[in-house]
Amino acid sequence: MYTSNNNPISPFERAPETVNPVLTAKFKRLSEVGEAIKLLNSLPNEKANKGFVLPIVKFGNENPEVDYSIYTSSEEVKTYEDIPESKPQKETPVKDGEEVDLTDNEKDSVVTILDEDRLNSEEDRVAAARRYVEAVTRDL
Amino acid sequence: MIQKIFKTILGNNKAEREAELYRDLIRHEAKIGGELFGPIPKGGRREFFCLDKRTWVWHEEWTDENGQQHSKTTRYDVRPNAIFKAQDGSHYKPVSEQEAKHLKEAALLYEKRIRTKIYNHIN
Repeated sequence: MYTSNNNPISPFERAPETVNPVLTAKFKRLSEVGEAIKLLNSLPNEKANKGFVLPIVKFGNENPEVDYSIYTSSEEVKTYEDIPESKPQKETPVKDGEEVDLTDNEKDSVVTILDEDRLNSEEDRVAAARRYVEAVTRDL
Repeated sequence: MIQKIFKTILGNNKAEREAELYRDLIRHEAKIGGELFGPIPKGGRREFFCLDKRTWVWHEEWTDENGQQHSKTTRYDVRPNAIFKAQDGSHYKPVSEQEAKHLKEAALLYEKRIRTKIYNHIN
């Protein structure tokens, strides 16, 4: 095969469709399906959710039991955000004046933090820091 | 002018021929896809196929105990972060992890089957 200036060219420089439309259709389909599989494989794993389940009947099963009721299921599928387990647990904010049971270390920390709010001088800061370190390391 | 018309007709015919072949291949794939889930009950019809790179279609027809015909078409839309489905033209809903896993397994098996049963025979 030669071009007009007599340079040989590879047969692959010709598009497949110029060769055979059946092959073109084949390549297009395989390419499309290949892309679809690639896209499916790239999906991240998600947490379990409720909803319609595509039935999988193992190939070769003589007596597959396909549950056709699934096709008429009208149950609304919840989004992932609706499932409490899928969300990180948030800390409950404490209201002003509300009593909260704290551990000893937490009490010390709270006291230290409260004290720090009232710190003005550098000396106060150093003293508060010392108290904080003592409180934290007391049980170690 | 005649040459131009001739070229246009030929061009259209070629494009139409390719499009027709493409559709035929999908139809053939759909039948093979429907068999992935086991034998189809008598009087029923099942098709499963890849419509394009992000859409999978499941179509089922069956007869209930009263002899009434039913059909259901489910489209699976594969998006970058999740799979959504719509049944009989309803709104898209996200699928469960289990269903996504099943769809993936079915798709992998589908690709294998169509290669063996159709495309390995086209050279």
